[in-house]
Amino acid sequence: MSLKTPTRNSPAVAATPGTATATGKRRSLRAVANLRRNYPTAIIIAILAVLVLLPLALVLLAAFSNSVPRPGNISLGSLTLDNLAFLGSPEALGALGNSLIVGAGSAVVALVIGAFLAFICARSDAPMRRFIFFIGMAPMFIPALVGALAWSLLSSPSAGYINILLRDLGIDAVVNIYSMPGLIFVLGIFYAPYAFLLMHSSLSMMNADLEEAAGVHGAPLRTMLRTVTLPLALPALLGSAVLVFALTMENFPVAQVIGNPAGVDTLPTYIYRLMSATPAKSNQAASIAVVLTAALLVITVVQQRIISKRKFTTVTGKGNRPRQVPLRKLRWPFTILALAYFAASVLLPMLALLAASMQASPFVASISQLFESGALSFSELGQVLTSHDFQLALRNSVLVAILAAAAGTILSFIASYIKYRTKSKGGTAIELIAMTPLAVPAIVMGIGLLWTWLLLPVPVYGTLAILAIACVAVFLPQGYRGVSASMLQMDQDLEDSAVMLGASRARAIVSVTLPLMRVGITSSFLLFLMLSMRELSASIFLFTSNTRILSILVFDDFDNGQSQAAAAVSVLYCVVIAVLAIVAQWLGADRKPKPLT
Amino acid sequence: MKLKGINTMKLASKLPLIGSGVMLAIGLTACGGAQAGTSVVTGAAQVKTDDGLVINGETIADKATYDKAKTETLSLYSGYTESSENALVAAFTKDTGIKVNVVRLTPNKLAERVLSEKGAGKLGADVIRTSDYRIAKTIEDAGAWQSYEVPGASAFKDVSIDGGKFTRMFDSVYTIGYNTQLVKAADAPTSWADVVDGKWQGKLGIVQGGSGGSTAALNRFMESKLGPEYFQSYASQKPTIYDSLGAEATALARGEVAVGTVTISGTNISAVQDKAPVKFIVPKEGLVAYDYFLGMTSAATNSDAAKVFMNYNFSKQGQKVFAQIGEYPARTDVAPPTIMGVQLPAIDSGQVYRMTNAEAISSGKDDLAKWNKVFGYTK
Repeated sequence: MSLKTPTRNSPAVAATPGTATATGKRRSLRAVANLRRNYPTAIIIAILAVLVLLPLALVLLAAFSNSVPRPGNISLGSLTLDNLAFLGSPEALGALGNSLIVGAGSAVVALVIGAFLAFICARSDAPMRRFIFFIGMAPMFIPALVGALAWSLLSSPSAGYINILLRDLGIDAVVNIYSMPGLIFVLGIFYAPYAFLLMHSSLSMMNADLEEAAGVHGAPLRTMLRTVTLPLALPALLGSAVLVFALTMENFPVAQVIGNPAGVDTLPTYIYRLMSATPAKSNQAASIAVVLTAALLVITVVQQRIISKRKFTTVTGKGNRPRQVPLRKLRWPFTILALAYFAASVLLPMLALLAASMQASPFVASISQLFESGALSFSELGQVLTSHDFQLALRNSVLVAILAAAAGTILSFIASYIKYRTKSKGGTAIELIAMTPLAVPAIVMGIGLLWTWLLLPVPVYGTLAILAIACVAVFLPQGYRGVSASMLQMDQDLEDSAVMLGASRARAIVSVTLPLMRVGITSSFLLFLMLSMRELSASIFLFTSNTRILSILVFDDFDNGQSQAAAAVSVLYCVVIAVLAIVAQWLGADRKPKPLT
Repeated sequence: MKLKGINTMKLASKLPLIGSGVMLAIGLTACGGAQAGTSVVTGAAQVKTDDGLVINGETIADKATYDKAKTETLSLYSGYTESSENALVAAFTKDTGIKVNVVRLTPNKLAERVLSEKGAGKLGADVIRTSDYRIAKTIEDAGAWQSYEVPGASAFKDVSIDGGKFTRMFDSVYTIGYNTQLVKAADAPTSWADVVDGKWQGKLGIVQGGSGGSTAALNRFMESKLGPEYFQSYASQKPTIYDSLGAEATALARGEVAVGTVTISGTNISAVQDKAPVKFIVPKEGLVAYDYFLGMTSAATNSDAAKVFMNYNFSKQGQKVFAQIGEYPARTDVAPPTIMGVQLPAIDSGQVYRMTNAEAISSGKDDLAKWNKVFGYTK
């Protein structure tokens, strides 16, 4: 709603130098220009403040208070440092240690998988590259909660399908997903697409000239990859490492489904447990959340420093054909490795969910039992599909995701534009605020947002709008990073050339910058859409009876022990996300950019 | 029935988005029919609606109330196990024709939601059900209840609480259950002592001690009846600790654990409706009962439907439904349940432990602190 105002105003930002040259009362004109220049920045900062800072302030208040801020109960008088003593407890320290191990471990797994897939997809001559691109993206269709449920069905020690099969075959081994390595594995495979997408866009948009120069000067392929390609891909590598680290460290559903039975407590599950203790210990949870936030902020700042030291512009007005690396004997083995990843991340989980949703009895003695007549039936799936709950949740989810994706992408674009294309002093602040949610567990953000929107005199609580707001707030860093990475790679001269040739700034943005950034913007929109479709942790405190979304439905079913219903909703949930993704991609692909030269 | 389900599915797989609306009409018949065959709630009530709502000869609502209630959709926030609440609500809607929107929440999410919504003047619930006395009191302190004296409630002991702010409708029962595919009936434990004798090391499940009114009662039972060492004995069996009763029930049904703490109603529904290989025992030391409360909120916009729902819950028919699900009715003139062929002992037989509300307030916190410490769980 209010988001539209800055869109109209932001072109004025860069257009002001032109007006400033006018004759006459120069000083007052400059003042007006200043005002006009700062106006959009101020609006964006205000929006971001309400979206991100206010919820955090309320959580911070809760951390240093002995009562929970709630409408009619914002007591500043009861400030205390007692909650901080909680941070030194063995449980808190243990959870912190586990979170660091989980974050680092899954970041490594996700980076290895993502970089490998991105490389063979973007730069090699391996067969089935188009399909490998799909493989790299596909796990994004599967919400982490659903993935974790699927893997617990596959590989729980006593009743997992894989272990039943091993027993059937007389193999005396148990694949136990309920363990630290299991948790890292599941998080790693389901967060690999983040690394893949960032790496892929970096590798495929890389300036071919630089690599060619290396080749011309006699550098062998290996040297070229090491001294040119790798350093150029560094921001994407670092970016995805930090991103996956932060996302997995704060991941709640997977840690809850996989880590909890293993006795592995991470900070988010610990926070969740504090919140769901009797009575809820929101204050202690908030204090832990504050520390987690501070720690991740430091990581984010360090990473920003690394990026800002160097210039990574690789898209210019010149032609761009990155060099293909011949794999020779490794062509098929590499493709097969990619297919194996597909099996682990998509195929097996979907089969497991389908089987679980169709099982006539929850107990499976042997895999062959599933193939007996009457062992499987569509009745549960049919029942779920036709239920009012599911249809309402479906409608809600789609609406929320589209709303969040549109608002989030627009906000991200304006924020990155102010930061990277104007000299506005607010740019750094905007970036910092936009990146902040990365360091805030979504579950804590959810509570902060609940309090925020109950306090503000805007009636969005209990509507789908608050869920969309939550999705924008929680996923802003991803959207912003996506848009600004693509903006960073694009030379500003292109837009400025259009202005010099007489186009207005607005026209230049619409006809030059936006088309050039089409891939970046489309993928940010898709990212927002997919992430919002999958969102659970923040929504869990914001939904009301009429605004349940699909992820809530799955979690409720799981939480309530309705595992078959949970599996059935999960299957349909994935189908919906896939359909939505295909539709969105198809719409996005319709508008092809005009050739540059 | 099955055929209809398959057809529905085939169609739907072709039209996942557009088709779903059309599905509703086709599907409802298949859905309703399938449930009737496997539900734990059986038998039809005699319903008369020509002058108010009369079920099996008992007046549930007068004409004015019932006519108004029929036009409303009740909003229920419930901390009751989802499958059990669904069974009750299905029976209610079938008998009264009044639709109910259930929001099922774990006890603390329920409290947090109610308090936040109430504070903002946006409480969306007409009625709230919780098993946690402390939560019910918190809601009372926030002024979110509306006194409503359920007809006939005053005739029974500690049913109407604090002048009708909220009402005890039934008692759920905690006991020991096992997976019948993994454990033969002859080998199954017969007492709480059996569970911790070492035989089930690593094959046991339990729900975290702070998950709500249910575990509060279980903790108190273990502490006061089984001895202060019992927590330690249980913990030394290295049980798998689940966050909620539902999660543990699923694990037991799938055979991830062989033996665990269960509710009788949950086991009943799991075995009858989901055909899970699970069974419960009546341990020598006794069963653990815990109260479930229902109350009308101060924000109730569908107050007539809320009244009918409250009355129905406490009617003989409603109480019978609870008994069929596997709960002890609050009305002592309705027989205690016979579940899966087991006649449960009378609630005052000495075989059923029931925590008092005073104990819930006085010992709840300390019990939980000890539980968490012994089981190595969150402080």
